[in-house]
Amino acid sequence: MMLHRFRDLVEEHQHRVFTFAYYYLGRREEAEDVTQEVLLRLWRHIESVEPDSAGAWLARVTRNACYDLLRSRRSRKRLFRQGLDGPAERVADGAADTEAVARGQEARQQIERALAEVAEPYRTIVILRELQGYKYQEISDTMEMPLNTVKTYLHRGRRMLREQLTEAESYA
Amino acid sequence: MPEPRTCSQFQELVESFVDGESAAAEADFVRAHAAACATCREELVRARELVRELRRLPPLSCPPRVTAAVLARAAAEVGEGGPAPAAARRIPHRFGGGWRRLSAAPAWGPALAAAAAAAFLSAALLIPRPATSPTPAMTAAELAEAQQEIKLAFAYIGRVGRQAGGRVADEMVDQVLAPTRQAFGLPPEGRAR
Repeated sequence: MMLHRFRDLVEEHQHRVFTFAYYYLGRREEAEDVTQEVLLRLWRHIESVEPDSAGAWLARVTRNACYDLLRSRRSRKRLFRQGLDGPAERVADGAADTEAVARGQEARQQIERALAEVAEPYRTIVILRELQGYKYQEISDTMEMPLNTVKTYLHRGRRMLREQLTEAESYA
Repeated sequence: MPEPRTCSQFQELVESFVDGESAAAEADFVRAHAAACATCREELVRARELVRELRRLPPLSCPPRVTAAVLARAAAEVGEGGPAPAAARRIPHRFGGGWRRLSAAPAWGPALAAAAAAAFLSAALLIPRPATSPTPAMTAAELAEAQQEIKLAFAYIGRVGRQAGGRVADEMVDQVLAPTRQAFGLPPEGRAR
C-alpha cells in the first residue's frame, strides 16, 4: 500500500524534482544524485507526507538538498572550475533546423549559467515561478515566506539574472 | 508636490509591470517613462525577453535509472519490513557531504557475488573432509575447471573493482581471496586488473 502510494508520487513528481535540481545546480549528474536522495527521503517520510502537500514538500526538500550540495561543492577544493554539463534530455523535442537548435541551446546555456550565479533565495523563487509555473501563493507556502516577499524576491532575482546576462554579454 | 519619477523608480516598477501586477498609476508611469527614455525602454524590452526565455526553458525528463534505483530500494525495504528510519536516510557521497547515487543493481553486487562464489568454491575444495565422509576425491579435470572458474571470478571482480576505483577489489583480493589464490597456485601479482 505504502509502496503503491510512493510509486504514484514518484511517477507524478520525478520530472519536476529533476528539472528543479538541474536548473538549480547546472549539472546533470548532481541533479540525478539530488533527485535520488529527495525521492528516498520521500520514501522515508511516506507515512507523514500528505499526497496533496507532496508537491510543496518535495519542492522544499529539493531546494534544501540542492542548497546543501552547492555548499559542499563550494567547500571542496577544486583544482579547476568545471564547466556546465551539456543540456539534459528534454521531455519533448520538437523538430527544428540545426541552426535554430544551436542558437536556442546557446541562449539556454547562457541563461543556465547566469541562473547558477544568482544568490539564494532568489534563484529558487525564479526557478519555481518562471520555469516551473508555481503560483505566488504556492511559492509562499513552499518557502514559508510572506506573499509580498515572494514577489519582491522574484523581481530582485530576475533583475540579478538580467545583470548576470548583461555582464556575460559584455565579456563575450 | 510629488517628486518627479526617475529611472531608478522605473527600475523598481518594471518587474511588476512585466508581471501585469502594477497599479494603474504605476503602469502609466512605466509606459510613459519607457516612451521618453531609451535606456529604460531597452530595460523593459530585456525584462520581457528574460521572462519569455525563462518560461521557454524546457522541463527535463528524469532518467529512468534514477527512479528505478529508488523504487528498487523501496521495494527491498518493504520486503525487510518497511522504510528505514529517517535517521538512516543520508548516504555518504563519494566526495563527502553529499549523496551517493544508487544504481538499480548495486555496483558491488556482482563482484561480491563472484567473490562469495569463489570463496565458497575454494572452501568446498580446501576444507578437509572428515575421514568418514564418502566424498570422492576431485579429479584433475575438475580441479582445472575449478581453477578456471576462480580465474574468471578474479577477472570479473577486478573489472568491476576498477570501475569503482579499485580499492575495494584490492582489499577483497588481499583479505578474502588471496589464500584461495595461493591454494590454487595462482601468483599474488596476478591480481586481476
